[in-house]
Order: sequence, then C-alpha cells, then structure tokens
Amino acid sequence: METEIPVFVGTTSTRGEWLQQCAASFKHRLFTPIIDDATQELAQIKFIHETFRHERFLFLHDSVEILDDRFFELIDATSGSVALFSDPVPFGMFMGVFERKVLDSVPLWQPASKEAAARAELLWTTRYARAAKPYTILFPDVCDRKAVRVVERFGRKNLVLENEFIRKYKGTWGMNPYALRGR
Amino acid sequence: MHYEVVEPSAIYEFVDGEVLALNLMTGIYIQMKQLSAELFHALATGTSTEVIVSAAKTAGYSAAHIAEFDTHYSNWVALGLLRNAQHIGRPTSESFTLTPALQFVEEQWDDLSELIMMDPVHDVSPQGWPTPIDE
Repeated sequence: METEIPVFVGTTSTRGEWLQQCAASFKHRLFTPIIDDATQELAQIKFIHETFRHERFLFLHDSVEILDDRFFELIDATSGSVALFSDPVPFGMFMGVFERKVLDSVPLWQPASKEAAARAELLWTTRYARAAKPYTILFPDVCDRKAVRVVERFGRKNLVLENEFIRKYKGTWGMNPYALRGR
Repeated sequence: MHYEVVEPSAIYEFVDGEVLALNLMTGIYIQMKQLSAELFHALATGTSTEVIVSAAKTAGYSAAHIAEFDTHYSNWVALGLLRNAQHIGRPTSESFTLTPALQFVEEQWDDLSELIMMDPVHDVSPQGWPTPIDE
C-alpha cells in the first residue's frame, strides 16, 4: 500500500479567495495551509522542513486547482524528489515533492524581497535539483510557453498553466533566465 | 582593487557560508564553500583586494596561499561573475575578517545550461518547451 504524501499549500492571510478555490478542488485529500504574510515560497519550504520533519512532502501554491484526483495517485506512486514543472528550471515555482535528506544537504534561506525570491527560483531550485538527482519531472509540458489563455481571477490577470490533472494561475509570467539577464 | 558582480547577467546568493552563483549568459552554475565563498562574497560586497590580503595575513594564511587569491579572482572574472568595479569610490569594508585555515572549495557545472540559455521565443521547437528548435 502506498503511503499518502503530506500536502502543504503556501498562502497568506490576504489570499482567502485563492485558498478557498484551491481547497474546493481537493476532493478526498487533506492538506495543511502554511499561512505567512512575510515570507516567500522558499522560506515556507524551510518552515515546513524544520517544523514537521516529514521524510517527503508535497508543496503547492494556493493558486493551483487539482482537476483530477488521480493527481494524488501519481504523486503517491513516486519516489525521491519530484519537480511538478520544469519552468524555468526543474523545481521552478518551488512546487513539487521535497525530501528531508535532500533539504538537510542544501542551504535554505528567506529571500528578503521579490527580486531575491526571483533569484532564489533559479539558484535554490538548481541547487536542490543537483542534490536530488535522480529526480522526476512530473509535468515537463506545463509551462509559460505552452499556456494559451489569460483569465481575470480575484482582481488580477493570470496566465493559466494546465493539463488534465492540475491548473496553475500565474500572476507573474515571462519570468525566465532569458528575461532576467536583460536581453 | 575592487570588483563587482556582473549584473544583470550574473546572480548570486551567500547563505550558510555557501555561495551559489549563476551566469545567465552561459548557464554555468558555481557552488563555492569555505575560502572561495568568503572571498567571493567579500569582493561582491565591495571589499577591496588590499583589505582581503590584510585580513588573510591577520588570519594566518601563508604568503603562498595568499598568492593564489588572484588566480581565483581571475577565474571568477573569466566565468563572467565578477568584473573590475566601474564606479570609483565604492565603499571598502574596514572591518572585514577572514576565518583562519579555510581551503578553496568550488564546483561548477553546466548540465542545465542549454535550458537556462534557451530563448523561449526563437529557440523552441513546434513541440514546445523545453525542446530546442534543432531537435
């Protein structure tokens, strides 16, 4: 019998509508919301790692919807570390299954600004991926370049990344190394 | 002499005594620890090479060891992470100290460079990201 991987959803106190939408998409699976107004995703992963000490856990944003419960069957059937996406690099957007033994071996920090968080999305995720090898990229095709629609949701425009299992509303997009380096 | 990070094409973080640096133009990723990390971070935050040498002598590093510093500075320049500071009068950290008895520890890799360097508009095949156009 497969063990259910603990699920955490990062959010803030001002994103109740997002969390409600996310929670409504979880049909048969419980999750733990990590509500923190002051930190970015990396700091939330650090908090989960240091507080709960799970061997493996799934980290998601409140801006996702689970479209098919078989998503969790896929997740539970995996081993090791799992990057949900590879945009802009594996573990981009900080979403995936993270392992305690790998997190113990890489630096974890709290980015102090949006810019620092953008740097962390490349520097930390690449560092984690390197330490986690071999890892799985679950949905390599779900990325900014393949998104085909933008929708208004909860007061902002969102690029919609999706497949049959998951939908991600992305408020900031085009954030890739090519853009970061200013060309 | 002063150095500075080659922004915006190079990014780095110094955390838990480790430097993680990435050249976004080449896709080369560098991880530094111990002396490499302390020296790189010192240079990147405006400490002059003269102050670093003084701190190294105080910390007990040998003249032969200190002579190696310039080789590493040159390598970081060659990797596109640092350049000679272009602004005169950058602040010098007078209180800089160096931990004694550290070694140079650096590792670099480029296995994600193709992904990092790819232009998402012009280099992606009809199959979509992350397949390059020539595959």
